[in-house]
Amino acid sequence: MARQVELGLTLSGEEAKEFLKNEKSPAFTSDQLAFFRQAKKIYKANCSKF
Amino acid sequence: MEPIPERALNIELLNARNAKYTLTSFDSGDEELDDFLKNDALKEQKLLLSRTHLCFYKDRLAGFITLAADSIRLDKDKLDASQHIDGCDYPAYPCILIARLAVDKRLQKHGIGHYLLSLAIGFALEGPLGCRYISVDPKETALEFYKKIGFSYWTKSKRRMYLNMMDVAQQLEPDESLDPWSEDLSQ
Repeated sequence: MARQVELGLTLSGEEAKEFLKNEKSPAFTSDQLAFFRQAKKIYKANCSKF
Repeated sequence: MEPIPERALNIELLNARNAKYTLTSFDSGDEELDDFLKNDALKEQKLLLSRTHLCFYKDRLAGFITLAADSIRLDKDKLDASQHIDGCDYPAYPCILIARLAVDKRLQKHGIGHYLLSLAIGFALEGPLGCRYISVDPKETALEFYKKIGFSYWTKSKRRMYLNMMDVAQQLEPDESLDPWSEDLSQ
């Protein structure tokens, strides 16, 4: 049996504060933005199957 | 190594038929991931706990991705209003969890992992669900793969890597509203 994934994480105390402090991403690189643009296209081309 | 062209890849939802004929030869090099695909993925899917999509190359199973609807709950008892996310005092935020992603070891380094991850990110950006984050608990060997895309650990506990989809959407289209009618109606 593969390990179960943990759904519904609850973050509390310091962990919640760290999450809130760090959840804003720095500027993505041009390569990353190109990847996200391509991701939208790939999804749109497959949205009936995915 | 040369990436395999996207048009040569085919996506199918895991089902009893393709599970019967295509899973046995799959070998990602990671026993736990292979075991999940061969023994648990279809069971989890029937229970609506997750969904697994298979990626085929030349009719051969090249990889798979398993997604689950998830949420990130913040215990806000000790947080003040300034710490609400974008002013929203929600107890939980919607998230898509990449529960599993693997590529057959004979086809690794050909862009199939990126293709599968693209589907998840595209779904979060363009799909019918509101999704603030994508999260993943990656294997050590996959850390760099996710980092390169923009995932990072936000907590010292390193329980999950996250990607903030709001930031992705804003940086992709900084001048465009998500609602194309909003400007017209306000005039």
